[in-house]
Amino acid sequence: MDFTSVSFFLFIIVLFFLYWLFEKKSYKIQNALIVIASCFFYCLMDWRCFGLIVITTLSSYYSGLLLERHSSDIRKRKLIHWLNIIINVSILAFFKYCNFFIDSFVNLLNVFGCTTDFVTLNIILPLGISFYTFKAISYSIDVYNRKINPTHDLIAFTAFITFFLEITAGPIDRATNLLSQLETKRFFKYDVALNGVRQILWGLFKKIVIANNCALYVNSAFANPADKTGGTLALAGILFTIQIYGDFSGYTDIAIGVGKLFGFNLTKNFNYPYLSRNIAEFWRKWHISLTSWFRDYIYIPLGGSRCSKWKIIRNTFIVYLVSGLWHGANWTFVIWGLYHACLFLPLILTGRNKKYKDTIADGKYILTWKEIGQIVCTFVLVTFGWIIFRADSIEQAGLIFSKIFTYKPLSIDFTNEYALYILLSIIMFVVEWFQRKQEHALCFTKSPKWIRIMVCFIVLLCIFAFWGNEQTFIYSQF
Amino acid sequence: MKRFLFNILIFACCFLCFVGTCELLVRQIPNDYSVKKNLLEKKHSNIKILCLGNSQMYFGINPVFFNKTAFNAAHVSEPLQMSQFILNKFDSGLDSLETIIISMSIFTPFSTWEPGGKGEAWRIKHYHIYYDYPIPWYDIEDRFELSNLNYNNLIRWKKALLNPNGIVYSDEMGFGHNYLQYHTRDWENCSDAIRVHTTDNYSKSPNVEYNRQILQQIIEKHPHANIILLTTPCWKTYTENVDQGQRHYVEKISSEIADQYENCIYMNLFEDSRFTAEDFADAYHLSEAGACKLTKIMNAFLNDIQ
Repeated sequence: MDFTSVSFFLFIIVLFFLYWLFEKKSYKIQNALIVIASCFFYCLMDWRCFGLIVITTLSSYYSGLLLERHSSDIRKRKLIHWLNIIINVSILAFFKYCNFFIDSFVNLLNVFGCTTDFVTLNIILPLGISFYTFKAISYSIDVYNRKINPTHDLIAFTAFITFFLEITAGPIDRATNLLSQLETKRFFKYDVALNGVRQILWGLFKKIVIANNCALYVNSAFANPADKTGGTLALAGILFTIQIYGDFSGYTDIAIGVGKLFGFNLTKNFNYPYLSRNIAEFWRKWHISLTSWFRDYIYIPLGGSRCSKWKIIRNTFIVYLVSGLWHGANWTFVIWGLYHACLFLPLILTGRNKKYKDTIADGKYILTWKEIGQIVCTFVLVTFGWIIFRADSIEQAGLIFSKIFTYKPLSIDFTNEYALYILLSIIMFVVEWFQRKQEHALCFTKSPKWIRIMVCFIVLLCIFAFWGNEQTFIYSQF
Repeated sequence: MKRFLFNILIFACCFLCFVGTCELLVRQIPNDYSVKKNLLEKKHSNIKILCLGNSQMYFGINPVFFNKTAFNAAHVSEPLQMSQFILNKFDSGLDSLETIIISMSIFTPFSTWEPGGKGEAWRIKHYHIYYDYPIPWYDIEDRFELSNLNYNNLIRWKKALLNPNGIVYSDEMGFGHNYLQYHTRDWENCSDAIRVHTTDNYSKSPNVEYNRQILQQIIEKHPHANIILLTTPCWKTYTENVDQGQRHYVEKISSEIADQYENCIYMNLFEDSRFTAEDFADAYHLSEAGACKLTKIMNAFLNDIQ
């Protein structure tokens, strides 16, 4: 039951009516409904590892209560806190990285001529483990640092950790945002709900029309790069850059839009990242909830930017190494993380990593040549990164890069079919360009009503027409 | 809340009316599925030779060269489950049926379609719309011509708008003409097709048993008809580069089934030297000349065995 399936929308409709039936009674009943719905949703997707999410929830909830009980005993607080962190990280490490580390260790020994008979375990990757573990850890750290008070409402906390809209691919919401909303009464607001429906439509458009169609070309090229020309692989890299954006931001838009129907304001995860003028701006706009998580819980505790340049560089490399590993147990992700850390180097050395916090071309419709150059450069650098990210192995990434630059770079395997998909992608970017100051591309504030209705109508028609070519959400695998 | 639900309902109703009207209009455009279904309904009581299978059969056997009444009911990418469904649908009226020819390509034993599945499974909608193939209640995208679209559909509609007769390959006997009008002549570089036709771990594919059972059911249900499993000729750039293990595995499965039943014969013309370059439209499809040659070979063979 993924976010583009009929069953998901039937599930949402039923839950929507049940949920608002209790609007006038108690928000606690609504929370209980969310917990039931989330458990049902999770078990339907993959019931095998449901126990792990229960352990994570209970461990973090009770550690919060214990931290409160021993608020004056620093040693006990430290012990409770670290015990909880170790439990959560151990579960994540075992289920996500165990085989990766065993394999890497064996390979390392082989390099030195030692042969071993280690066997890898047949471990399944629990759905959404990276997302809910990070949510739980952020709660624990915030409670430990006394930024928030621990909750005494187990149902609200369970709803926070297991929230079905965020469980498979985020956003990694903080307790300060989502948990506080779960602990207060929600009201149905017409404008918010309508805005939510529009955001769902835009999310579906990005996923079904853009990402799923780009995936056809990308999958074909990456499945057999040895047979492809450099131009084809370069185009596949660009299309993957578009695909991963449409896929992940589409998912997030659907989640946030559905959240609005239930009276929630979920964390924004994307802010038109491909309209960035340098890599630092890109990371402020891409997967914002994860980037801010790393900033708050790794980068700043390590010293952040208030230390020597050498330490800033070290901290940046640590953050992007962990970020790469967070995405998956494969060396391609590690290299991808380190590649982005390297892109930060010139910005850190020249002190420009905090530049461009404003909206690009604010108040204008036309970019300057400098801005166009900056955006194109950033896009190209990010695309190189996505090629590493998408490749099955480092060797495959190396092969793709070598072919892009050396083997028929101008020969592209291209049909009119893909021209149509590229045209649709360009339309998506143009719409987003004009709406870049808005929360999402269909968030109209000043347009006449008939234009709003017509745009939504056309978007829905496109979704309906391209519905069917199903592709798994990329980030649900992390 | 009431205002919200009312507005959403009005919007949804307008959308459904618009889509419904467009769907009705699109279904009026003739296509291979609707044409073949109508022809089968009209002719099925006279058919003596029925051809089923994928594009290799569709463009490879021209029934006009048989000396008995024949019909080519094959469709592009059709797996055995759909061939069986078509056969079962018209079975009660196939009173004169003597021979069923089923294409056995190197990917046939591994191919199945599930609603919402990958690859060519989007074609299920045509079987549902025109042949009443059953699909699950939640499978919305396979109920409409307008959904599950791809570029080829858009082009088909564009051609239909310009020329109402220009989008149907099939002639009166179900044979597919004009392959080259719509496809590039892929002679040397057929690696994409080979990749698509190759199945990893083919010997462990769960679809093999499923497809074997389909073939057995067809054979057992028609004890008085000759069932011919036919591997059509392909050009050397294809035959030499396909996974030879998979190829031999398919040949083994086909031979096993043929050996199991008296009324079943396996004809393997994969590398038949009688077919020259002029006989191919591309590396794995016959041209019209090739189809003529193959059909005459088949006709002679059928005359011999009868």
